[in-house]
Amino acid sequence: MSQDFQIFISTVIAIFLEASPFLMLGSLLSAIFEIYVPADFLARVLPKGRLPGTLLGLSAGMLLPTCECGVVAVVRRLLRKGVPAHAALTYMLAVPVINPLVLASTYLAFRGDMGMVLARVALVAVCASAIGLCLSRVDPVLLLREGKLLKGLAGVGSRVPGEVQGGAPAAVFVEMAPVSACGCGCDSAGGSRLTRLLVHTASEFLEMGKYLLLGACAVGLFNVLPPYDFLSLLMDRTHLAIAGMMALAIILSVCSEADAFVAASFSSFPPLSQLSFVVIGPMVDLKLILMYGAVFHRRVALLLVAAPTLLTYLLCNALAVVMK
Amino acid sequence: MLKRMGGIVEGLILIMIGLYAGWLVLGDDYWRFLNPKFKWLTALTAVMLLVTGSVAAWNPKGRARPSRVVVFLVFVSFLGLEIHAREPQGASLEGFPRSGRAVQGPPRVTVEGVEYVRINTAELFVQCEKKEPGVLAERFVTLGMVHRNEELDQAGHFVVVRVVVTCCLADAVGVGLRVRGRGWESVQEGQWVEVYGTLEPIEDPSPDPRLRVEGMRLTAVGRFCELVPARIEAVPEPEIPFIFEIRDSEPYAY
Repeated sequence: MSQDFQIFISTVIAIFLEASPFLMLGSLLSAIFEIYVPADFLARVLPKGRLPGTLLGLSAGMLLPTCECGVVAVVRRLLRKGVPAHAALTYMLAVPVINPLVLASTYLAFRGDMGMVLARVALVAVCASAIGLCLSRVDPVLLLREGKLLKGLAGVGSRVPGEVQGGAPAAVFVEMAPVSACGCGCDSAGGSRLTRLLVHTASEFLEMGKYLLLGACAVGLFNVLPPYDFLSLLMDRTHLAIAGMMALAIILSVCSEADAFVAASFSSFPPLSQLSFVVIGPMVDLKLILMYGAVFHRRVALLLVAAPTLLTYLLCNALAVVMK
Repeated sequence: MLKRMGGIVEGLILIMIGLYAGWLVLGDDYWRFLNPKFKWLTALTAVMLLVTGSVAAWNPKGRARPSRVVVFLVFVSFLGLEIHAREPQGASLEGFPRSGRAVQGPPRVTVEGVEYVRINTAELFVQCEKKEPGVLAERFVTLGMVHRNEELDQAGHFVVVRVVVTCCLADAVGVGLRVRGRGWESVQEGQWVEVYGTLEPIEDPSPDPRLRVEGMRLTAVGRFCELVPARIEAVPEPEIPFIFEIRDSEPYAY
């Protein structure tokens, strides 16, 4: 077996093993929501207004940290349960960064530079909030790839409440028909709730894990390609360095706990380019692009990739101008 | 029946991955993929994979999806290939590591009446980046692999480097420091050495030299300090060549 192929395999295995605990946690949470939480419960208990919902989405990671690989499965379930986009999508984009573990690792990686930590939080919060609020008027179920199918299945038992106070959209609470769209048989008549929970967890893990593996293979391929010498050509110009580091973050697909250390190692690059690396990576990378495409409606997936990329680039360049 | 078989296959896939993860945790090779501090997390995941896989395989209503079965079967084949390809001993940074001696010892060591602080290349890199005056007054000993190239040879330098793994192999970065001074010509590319010396500031910091550790995408070399050696000793390859911990002060992880 060639050395490059060995390195490729090792990279794929390492990425999968590293992400699998969080993917398992996300799958388990998703299954819990599916089996135990009634369709309209979350939408009833969550704050109704867009601003409180957005703030909840931004801060939920401090209580329930989840890495980017596991959170997509959870958010899919939340949207199916009618949680509006300004809470669910904001949570999805923010939680990989705005959580105690990543904040601590960022602080350590940048050797106590609180400015970098706060800037990372601020830029991620702006991007996540903007995207969540942008989609807040859309029926949360229709954000999903299987949204129309779910709406079609919601025959008996579905209801459409009126406008929610604060201008939030009228969500359709989908009471699932006996056969669920995931097809894992988790809600069959037989078997205890625990059995259904575990079966659903397994199915969710395999479904999201498929995209994790495909993304890991893409990362593994880049691992054996020629070295990234071209980056050194970009580092003298801030706007080019920012673009280059963002592209690198998307390609490397490093987890949010470790990306600060990788970014910090680029000590000869402008600090704002290091900032752009740690901002865009947890929101957009090769694994996430595949997951977004699998879970969300095509236009929503495009927005989830394009909007954070554009916002991160513009905000980092704006900071460069302000700090000159 | 076919659909039922698909459900069984998916359950078995999860069981096999769980067994592999458990075997990795219980064995000596976990560090090849992940930072050992995550062993407990992988162990928990292995248990969950075994449990969910077993339940899924027994589920009479289980339905498989062909695309994910194919992807996971390919992954399981990767696991098999990895086990097959693993060499039983020795360690190097070219391709798969092999085992050698372990990196252990006290925080300081005295050689010929001179005391040196044991520190790894990443910790030394961090101390240099801080540019604290106290760092320049200290004597250090660091362990790493020698890398040379034309540009470094012309300047009378080599770089001592070691790979840092924060979470997993995918985020591995080679981190090192330039070494300038006597003895540089005698070291060989790829040789493991212990360098005893002091730090000196570099007046005109330059971009990282063009060096790449085999299999690693990124390498960072300290720009603000270089190591001036009092002595350089060739040593056997360490059992675990990677750095998994970076400390800010003594006792350093080394």
